Amino acid sequence: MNPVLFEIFVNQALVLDLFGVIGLGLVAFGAIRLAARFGSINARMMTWGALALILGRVGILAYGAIVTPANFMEFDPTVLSVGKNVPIGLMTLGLGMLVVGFWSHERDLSDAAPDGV
Amino acid sequence: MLGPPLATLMTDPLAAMRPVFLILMGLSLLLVAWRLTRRSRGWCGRFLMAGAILLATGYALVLPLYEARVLVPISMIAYYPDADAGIALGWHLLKVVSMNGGWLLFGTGLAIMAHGPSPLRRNPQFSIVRP
Repeated sequence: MNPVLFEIFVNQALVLDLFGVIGLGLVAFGAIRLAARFGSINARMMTWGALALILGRVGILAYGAIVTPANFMEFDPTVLSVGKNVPIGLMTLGLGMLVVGFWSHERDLSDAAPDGV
Repeated sequence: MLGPPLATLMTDPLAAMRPVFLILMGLSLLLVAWRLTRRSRGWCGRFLMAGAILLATGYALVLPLYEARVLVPISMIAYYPDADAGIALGWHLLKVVSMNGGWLLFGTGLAIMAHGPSPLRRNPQFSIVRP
């Protein structure tokens, strides 16, 4: 195992996770901008999906930062289950909403300018 | 004896359906991004397409392999003495880069697309039947 790669991608992984969260923020920003420009409900759905993805991602990062194998036994199992599964559900539903909104937005743009008859 | 995915399908169908959902969503994202940017020029389409390719790799290949217990997570490598730590680190590297870099590039492309004057530069199609 390469120690430099281990240091960059495992020990100091917070920087790369921050890149992902910034990218999700850019997705939400672009979706809000699209909703303001086109006034479509699809871009609004993309916005809600991006917000759910941000919340779920931050929740999973917080779970990984708080719960460690050292203090794993100190927590209630119900709290652990909720704290792990609610962000996963948020991320799954948010991804679905984002993809459906993106698809509908693309279909609206294609209907506005059809490329074949 | 059922393997982990089929056993999960019996006990927890929602968790077993989640990788299928992720695969479908990743491929849909790739398809929609390709349809949206196939006629466009400039960095908006390139950012969007690069992010969609990375996200499709992460959602349709890496995450289902982790969910199916084919790959060992890097945090659990101490409990698997037979697993190669270098290979586990390589897959972890691919996961981190594809997910985080994919969202960063996709978000950059979407923000440029939302700010740009006209994202779609389709060729004008003239038709006698339906103008």
